[in-house]
Amino acid sequence: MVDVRLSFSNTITALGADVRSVFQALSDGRTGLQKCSGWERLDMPLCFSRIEDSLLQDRYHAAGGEPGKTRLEQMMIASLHDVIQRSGVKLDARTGLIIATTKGNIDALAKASEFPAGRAELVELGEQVVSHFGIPNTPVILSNACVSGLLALVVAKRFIENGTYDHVLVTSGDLLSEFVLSGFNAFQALSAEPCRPYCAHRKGINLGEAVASALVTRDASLFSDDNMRLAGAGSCNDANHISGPSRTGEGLFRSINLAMQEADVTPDDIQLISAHGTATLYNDEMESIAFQRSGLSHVPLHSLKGYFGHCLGAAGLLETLIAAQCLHQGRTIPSAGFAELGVSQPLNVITKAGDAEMHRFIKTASGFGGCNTAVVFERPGA
Amino acid sequence: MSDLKQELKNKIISQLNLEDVAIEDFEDSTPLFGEGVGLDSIDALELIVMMDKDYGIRLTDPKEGRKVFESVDVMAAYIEEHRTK
Amino acid sequence: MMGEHGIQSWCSISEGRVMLNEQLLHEAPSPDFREVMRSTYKALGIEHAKFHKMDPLSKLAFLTAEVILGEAKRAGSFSQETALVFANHSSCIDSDRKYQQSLDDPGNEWPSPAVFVYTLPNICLGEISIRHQLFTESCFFIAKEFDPATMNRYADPLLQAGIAQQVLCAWVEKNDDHYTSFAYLLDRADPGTARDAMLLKTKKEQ
Repeated sequence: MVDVRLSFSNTITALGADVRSVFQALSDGRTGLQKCSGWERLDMPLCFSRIEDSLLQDRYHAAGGEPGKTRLEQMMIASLHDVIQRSGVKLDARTGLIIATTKGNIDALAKASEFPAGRAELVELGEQVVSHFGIPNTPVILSNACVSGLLALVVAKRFIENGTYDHVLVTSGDLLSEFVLSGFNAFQALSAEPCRPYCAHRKGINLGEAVASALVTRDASLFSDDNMRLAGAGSCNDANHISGPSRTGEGLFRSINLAMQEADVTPDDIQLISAHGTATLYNDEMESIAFQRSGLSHVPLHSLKGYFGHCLGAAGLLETLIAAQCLHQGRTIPSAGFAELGVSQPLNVITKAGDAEMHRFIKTASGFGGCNTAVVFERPGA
Repeated sequence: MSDLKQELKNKIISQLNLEDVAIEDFEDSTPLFGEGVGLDSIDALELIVMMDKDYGIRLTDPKEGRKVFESVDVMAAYIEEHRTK
Repeated sequence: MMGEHGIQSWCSISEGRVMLNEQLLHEAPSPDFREVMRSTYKALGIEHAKFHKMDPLSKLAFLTAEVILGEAKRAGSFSQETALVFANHSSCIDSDRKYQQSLDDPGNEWPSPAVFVYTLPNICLGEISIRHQLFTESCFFIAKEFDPATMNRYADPLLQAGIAQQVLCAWVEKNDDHYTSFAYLLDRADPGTARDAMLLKTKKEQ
């Protein structure tokens, strides 16, 4: 078996521009969510998280960014630059690039955009990122709704296992856009208050903006101190409904089982669940059923949506990076917004920050189109 | 009232793209969801938009929506009572 | 010969013609996309009311899968363990444009949830999974052009690891007036299956 690791990483969110400072902000109980009276043409109370313009400018400038890039391109370039710099990975034929996003430069389609509509093409997004770094390989672009960021790690793992690449750079990002906000609003899924995953009082999701990037590699000389082994993965469809979560949690249940099988672990070997937990009525309920069926109900669990909102394509990777820090620093992060259990099956929701020795966590994500992904991560040497 | 019911049936069939449903098999009392006309949760959201756009009725609770959309009979009665346009 | 390479079958929908392996399965009265979708749906004798609600990309992907998986069902070679690896150039741009136009229309305060839900390219994979009850891995990639080599590099390990018994690989492109699809079914029974990329590329271009 090829030993594939999640190595150097970066994230830029409302709470900071690197993984450690974002983790520190969470440990201090800070949230990236803010309440607003509207966004662009949406005139209604909203709650979301967004990267500060000055922070992004600063990081993009530090990455030697040229003018003429969209906001999302700047986010991805700034984030990848940090990973490339710190890891020292060579940008040659053995290094692949995966770009994961749900909507890419969707804001370029708007009439008011300063960019041509063609910039909304995901292929164009890929070219903008690749040309900045001079990456010789054609980027692999993945657009699989809200599992994109996590699934990108699985795709990277497979490409390394089958010898296509030795290293894969992954970047995942999505914008806060009128397009997506209005869509979730039409779905009556938005909460104007900070979201409350798994809580009896939950009223819906908040959206968020973030980018998260990482180096996935088999090369021990490129392992960071806080690397994690990608021990097992599964990704299964619900085959039930294109927007509604499965009532039985079938796809997530199967994904978790496949991930645990490949990692060769049982529920007792897992000390943390970094769950999807969007705080919609049906998603959280579905997850509780899938975790119960997988024998994971007792495992401490958090959703980080109460800090960042739902960062769409970036969510899976961003949340993975935070969970990896939990294991390395031996600290738990509570599930923000949770007061009392509001799902039908028991869950061990983390309500207080604390110290804990953890060896493995499982990260899950679910999205429109009935997609689900689960990955077991292992702290090396644990 | 019967004009409104006819109007609703036409709208439901055309706006929700129910190509396999013929207007003559569509009774006023046929359940819109489940075994009846076979609408699903996305259709329910579209009907909520339609209620707002065409009749000036704002339904914010999806569960309330489900009751209102039980059948064309129930919908028409609700619209008659609450319409603002 | 396709058979030597273990590719179970391939199909395409393009310019009004629906091809299955070497045969013309159906020719639409006109190459107009809506006409092709409507007449192919009828010709295949499908009863799936949700089809009419789908966006253009999902319709194209759904019918393409229907042709090839329908044939596998008839031949007794269909497997419930079929993974889906799909790709295209333009993502779901038709639905993106339609939804964005509704936002840019000053008289419209009501964006449609039924349009919004199709503004993700992988929704078509959900539609196919529901139709054929596939609880398997499904993945949507965006690429400049149809590149079977990359698709196969992804499909191959799914077969080797036994995650799937078959993989349906497809290029499904729909952008305004332009549409084309090409799909092929790989089988685990033949380890050489996923390799003959050039042949597939030639087939598509024919």
